[in-house]
Amino acid sequence: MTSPAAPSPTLLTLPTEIFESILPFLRQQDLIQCVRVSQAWNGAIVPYLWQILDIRFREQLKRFLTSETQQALAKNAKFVRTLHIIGNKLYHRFLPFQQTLMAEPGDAQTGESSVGLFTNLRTLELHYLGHPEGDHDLSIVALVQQNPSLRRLKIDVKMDPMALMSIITKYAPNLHDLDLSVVTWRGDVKALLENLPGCIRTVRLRDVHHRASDNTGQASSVESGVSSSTITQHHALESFSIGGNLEGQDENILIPFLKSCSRNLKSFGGKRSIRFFRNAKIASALSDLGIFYPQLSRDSLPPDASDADVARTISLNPNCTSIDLNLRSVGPLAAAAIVDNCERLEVLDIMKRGTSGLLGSHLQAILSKATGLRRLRAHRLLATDNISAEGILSSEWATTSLTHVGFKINVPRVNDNMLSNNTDVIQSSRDTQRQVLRRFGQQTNLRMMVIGGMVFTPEITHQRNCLEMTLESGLDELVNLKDLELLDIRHMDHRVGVPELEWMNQNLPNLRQLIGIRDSLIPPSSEVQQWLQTHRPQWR
Amino acid sequence: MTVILVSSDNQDFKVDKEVAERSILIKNMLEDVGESDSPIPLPNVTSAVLTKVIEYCEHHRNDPVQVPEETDDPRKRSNDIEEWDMKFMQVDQEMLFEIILAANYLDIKPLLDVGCKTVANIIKGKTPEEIRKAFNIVNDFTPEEEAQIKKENEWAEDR
Repeated sequence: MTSPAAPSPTLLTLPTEIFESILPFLRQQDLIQCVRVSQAWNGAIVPYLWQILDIRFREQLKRFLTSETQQALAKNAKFVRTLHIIGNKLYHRFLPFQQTLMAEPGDAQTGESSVGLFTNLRTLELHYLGHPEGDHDLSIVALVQQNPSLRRLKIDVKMDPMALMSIITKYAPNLHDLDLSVVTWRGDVKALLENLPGCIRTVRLRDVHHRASDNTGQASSVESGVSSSTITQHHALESFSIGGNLEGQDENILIPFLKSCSRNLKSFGGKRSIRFFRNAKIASALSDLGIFYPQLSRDSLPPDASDADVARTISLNPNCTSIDLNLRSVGPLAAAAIVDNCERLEVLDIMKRGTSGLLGSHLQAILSKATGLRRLRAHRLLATDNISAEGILSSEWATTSLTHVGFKINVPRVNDNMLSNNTDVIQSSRDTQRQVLRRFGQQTNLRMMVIGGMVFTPEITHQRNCLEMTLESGLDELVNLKDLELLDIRHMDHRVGVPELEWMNQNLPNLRQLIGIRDSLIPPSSEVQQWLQTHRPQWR
Repeated sequence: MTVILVSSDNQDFKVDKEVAERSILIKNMLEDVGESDSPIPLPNVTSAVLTKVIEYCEHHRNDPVQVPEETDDPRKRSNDIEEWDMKFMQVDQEMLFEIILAANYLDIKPLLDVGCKTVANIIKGKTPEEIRKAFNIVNDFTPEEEAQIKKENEWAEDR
């Protein structure tokens, strides 16, 4: 290197912290080149390279089990923060089943095993080991003992859960995350929960099977000295999930446990956890913590759920902000439950055609109660039960933040052929339509507006009682909808002419899609076609 | 509103407050001092480097503030540099490291990240010898030592 007079920075003279902030952008295969560059690079990069010991592939495993790597492990195990073992073979290399390991309590001897080398682990994950029951427990005991810095533990080793709790309480004061979702446990779940260490924030139990201990009612006390009379408080717990079979002891097991939790608990769930929310006593203990059944989504209910099921599920969460259903049937009970729980509703989205219990009057009630409503889409369901223009105007809307609307509005529109001479009736219909469009025009966040007809029968090419969306009937009331991206004019299209298109082109700068202008049952008039050709608006 | 930044070689730079506040160091200083016209001395940054840094901050003046994600996985991508940033970083190594140092001192996280990604991209795919050449580094290993180190860390290769 030609040495310059002024000290200009090189990669090596960068402060260590900056050099280290480059490393996360390198791939493993680059890092293993970097450690060979020079002594200085080696010293800086080896600790980083060894932070995560995560061996997934057979080839990797082969390379890992060489004597050179094993020697390196002895030097570098102190850098390992995450030990992730998924292979049986590696597991045996690290954690051989040795009685001698625990010759003296608290004095783990390493012997030939590598267990003793790890002392700075933050994360220990052992899965898919496929070993017989009861094996290897001592190695895990040793690992937990030596690593007081442990924060996350995920194991599928079938050691006695009570013994595990005892070890954690004693040796892993920093454990936040206990993940037993890869293992099936059989035992006293009540005692297990009582003895969950108080420091834990996240617990995942996927498949636990309750077997009461011999002296029922008396929680078995744990070796560590946690007495059964003082139930550990779980105020740090934020997330808890449980699945499996509690043998009918749901209340007996969960209510005392929930009483030991605080409002830090934000999430309570697990496979088929809906049964807990349906149990009045458990649901009440949960609601004391501010926990309700999660938002109702298309996936959270079976497709064959009955009207009553849907209604009950909706009532489980009065704080629900989103109901997104794709059901064959939202019957009268479910519809009533939606209205009863709609005040906090932000999203109501019901997309599938079916027998409908949801009426125009329900939508009206929702519009007048839900102050934060953003999305209201229920058009298919309202195919037979429209909301009338008078209905929608009969009360004020609570929300000013609608972004998506999709339902059909019935307007007492004049049948051109029969009443075209009755100018009073025509004028009155247009006045009503203008008022309806004015309502929508006030929702200045609107991006998608589908309020036209939805009937596709061959006889009725135009629905006679849907909005006209003409300038005469109040299209210009939409002048403030500068965010509007999609407007549906199907079944109104025979009325929408060149003046309307001109107006939209000038006043709706974000319009991208005008549904129905080209793909209608009746082709657009020649004037409209010509206008579209000459002006080539940005909408499709 | 504008503020005046003074480089180590005593040059004044008049920049919009909004631009200067891309630097968390300056932002905090301005908040502490309150309304004030006095120039801000930056004794660790030369005018050549400060010119580059201001160019970056001007271009990114309207970027949303980065929220650091909390993940257990420290690994990050380096192939997502914007085109403008890529061109901006086409400088000699000395300037590259000067920019990184300045970004670190001024606490401009996105610029520090772009700098680190640029260095990472120089390293990527190279053999140890090529890396040494790229950064002017002397090999102080014996061939035996290097072979030993290669074997010791080979396990980390993906497949």
